[in-house]
Amino acid sequence: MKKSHVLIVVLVAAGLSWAIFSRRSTPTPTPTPTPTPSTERSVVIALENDVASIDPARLQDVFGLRVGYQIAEGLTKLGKQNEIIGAVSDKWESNPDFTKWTFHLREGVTFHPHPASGGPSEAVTVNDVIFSFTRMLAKDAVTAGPLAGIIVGAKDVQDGKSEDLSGVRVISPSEVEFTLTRPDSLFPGRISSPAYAIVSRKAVEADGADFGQKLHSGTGPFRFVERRGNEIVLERFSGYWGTTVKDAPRQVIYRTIKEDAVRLAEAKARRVTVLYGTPALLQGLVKRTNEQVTLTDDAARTFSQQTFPIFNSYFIAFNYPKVNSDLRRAIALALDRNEVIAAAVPTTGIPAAGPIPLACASYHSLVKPSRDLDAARQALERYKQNSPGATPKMKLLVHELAQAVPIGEVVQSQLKPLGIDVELVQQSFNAVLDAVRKGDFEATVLGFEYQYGLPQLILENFYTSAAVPLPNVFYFKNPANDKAIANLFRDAPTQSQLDQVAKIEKDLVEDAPGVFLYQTSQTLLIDPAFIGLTCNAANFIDLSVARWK
Amino acid sequence: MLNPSGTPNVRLRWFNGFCASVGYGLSLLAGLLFLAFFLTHVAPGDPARIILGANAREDSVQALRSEMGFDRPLLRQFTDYSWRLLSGRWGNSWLARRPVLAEIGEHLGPTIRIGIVAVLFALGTAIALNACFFWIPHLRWIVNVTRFGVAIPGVVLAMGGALLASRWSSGLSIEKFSFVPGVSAGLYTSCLITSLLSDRLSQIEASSAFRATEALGFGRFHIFNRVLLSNARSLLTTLCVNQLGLIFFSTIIVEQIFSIRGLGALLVRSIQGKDLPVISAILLLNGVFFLVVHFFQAKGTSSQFREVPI
Repeated sequence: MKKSHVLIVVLVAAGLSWAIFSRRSTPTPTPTPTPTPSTERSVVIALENDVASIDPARLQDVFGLRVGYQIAEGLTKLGKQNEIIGAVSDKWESNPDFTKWTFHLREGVTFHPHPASGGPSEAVTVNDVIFSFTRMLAKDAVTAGPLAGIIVGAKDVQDGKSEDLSGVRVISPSEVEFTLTRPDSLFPGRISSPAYAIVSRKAVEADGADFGQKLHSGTGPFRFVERRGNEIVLERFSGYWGTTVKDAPRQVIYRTIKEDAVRLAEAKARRVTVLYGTPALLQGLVKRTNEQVTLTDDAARTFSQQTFPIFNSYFIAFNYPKVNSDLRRAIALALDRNEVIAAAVPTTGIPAAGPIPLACASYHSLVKPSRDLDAARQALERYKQNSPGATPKMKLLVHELAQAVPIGEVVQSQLKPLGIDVELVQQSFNAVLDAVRKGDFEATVLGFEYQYGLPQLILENFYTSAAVPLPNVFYFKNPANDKAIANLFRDAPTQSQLDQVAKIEKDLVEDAPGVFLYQTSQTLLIDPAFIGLTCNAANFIDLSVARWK
Repeated sequence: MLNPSGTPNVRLRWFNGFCASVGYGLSLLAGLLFLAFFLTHVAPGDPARIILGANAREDSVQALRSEMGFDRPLLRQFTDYSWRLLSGRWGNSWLARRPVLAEIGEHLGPTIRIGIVAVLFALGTAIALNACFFWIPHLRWIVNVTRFGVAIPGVVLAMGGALLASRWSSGLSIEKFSFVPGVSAGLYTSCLITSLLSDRLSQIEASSAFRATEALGFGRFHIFNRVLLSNARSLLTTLCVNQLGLIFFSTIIVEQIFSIRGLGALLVRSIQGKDLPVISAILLLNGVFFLVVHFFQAKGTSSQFREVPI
């Protein structure tokens, strides 16, 4: 046999044995049922896409936030009932005008063990808090925006003029004080996202670019173990300050499975414990009756489910200064939201005419998602009278995300009988975002996934003049609205303040910077043998009382 | 030019050839550099906005845009960008915020494994099937199946294979699936090589020289190995080299389906996120890889490979 042929045979044999032996030699993370103790059986949570980073200052995608919630915590965090609860800090107080906030560090909160500390867990210090906030305000930190204008000195840090965050100072070894540029009665809620988590200075400095990729050290209930291919492996942190049930599972694996069909097959085969249901995946698995989501008989034999509203809003955004106000109102009044939902998100959509998530704790919206064709025709008449000779028309940008195309098609068909001509222009999402940034659009279909569970913060961050052009994609500027929203932060949050928020939302909707169409609920498909899991409206899973049967 | 003895100056010819190769390589790399820059600047999306996220305030985005030089004239940006790359400063990924080479290094392993399995599978099945056809001529109908495979677009074949495999196989860890994605990525190439090799071997079998070899009483294995395969070797090499691009493309598809954190998945993520440093690095490394492969192929074909006389 010639040398080259021997080489080919050897290569083929080597390739095959590599493939076979690598399969045998690598321990698989797949949970094996019954024989193992329930604590040893891993919980596998499927993600729909890759996690770019789990470094809090780099948390950009919802998948990273979901994983980040388990690993790291801020001074405060969002609780099971979407309320703001203490995490690294257990109590806080402010001065009377809410411009200074003092946070007391919770006793016994430690970072996960990390090679840099060279030993057991180290306690969180006030210096770690200051370091974390300075880091999250850096110029290239995703997290900087909402805090930059609030904390004194934050702008200088963001602009690179200073390395010290002058607005945060140590009061005592367990107390840190934040000085704000303006009153903010909701500051503890503002910093409740996992993106504002406290990290170990020692770990960040030792890990460099690997922090959040191969290494991590937070204070959350689970510690980062490793990143293995498409999996992120976490292990329960024995030194966690919070409580957990005695037989809680020890290991949690976040596994990325991009294809819906494959993800579902894996869950059916019990290789995935928890699955976030996407609209396409839920088709045929759940049915909706009287706003209640239930599993079909077939699916009920395989899964249990939990459905809960989440913090989001899907809408048509008008370019507020460019599109005539009567035309905007006519469109807002003419659309049938149920028909839009049927076309776009039949199993998860909830009609919602306002931008504030229905899931916000204790919030009751005053706007009703009803269609009023007579009022729409009147508004259209006014438009024709005030703009003689003008044809009611709108160029609607649609893209590949947020079900924009089916929504656009339904809107087009619903407005046609009224004589409003809708031209659908399909572009990539990035192109639409570019057009929005430049103000070069009339209307587009978009969705917001909110990180905040407080309506006041949502109004301030998305619907004030300061947020133009992004995230205030509407270019909505109304001084009265700005003033009313600013006033919300001068008083302590109470139910009457939430009523005030509802009124601001009503005024906003009547001004029609956009047509708020629906919000969605999230359905989790769960292995029936796994019980006790809860999930808040930011889609963060709480495993503190979850266990295998 | 001739040397005093009248024979061509070998050193000069080698030098000219070397210069031509280097010139070709450099021009190709310059083209790739320009392409990467052009694509990311023509494609919609603001890099600074991508880094800071859709919800970032415009003043923060503007500040970062200015610091990163995105507000400079395009030509200046291109020269800065080229100089950075040429001086070895590949920079950090805009999305992952870590060195580009570290990011690529982490994603390279799975892609190489899939690629090697795909090539070996394609080559192995093509040779094995054609050996079967030689020994058992009744099985030649299988060639029609492989021709049907060639008629299907390679991407569709890779996608179909991967989807089927992912349904039947258990678990989705890359370690477990190193074989299956490779086979999915190599399906089209396997069909193509099998068909073309079969045609080539049929031609050889029809030759009088082949019949003479048979008449001399050589064994079947000797004939298949020394006569048929030897004479199809350059075809196999050319096919493998030319199919590498398609295999890489198929790898991107199967990485998506199997959720493998490979180079393909990284490229898709980077294109979606306009991560210019990563896109540039992948394009350039890809260009260098193909330059090297083609260089050795050309060298091998011209100086070493020759048809074995039959």
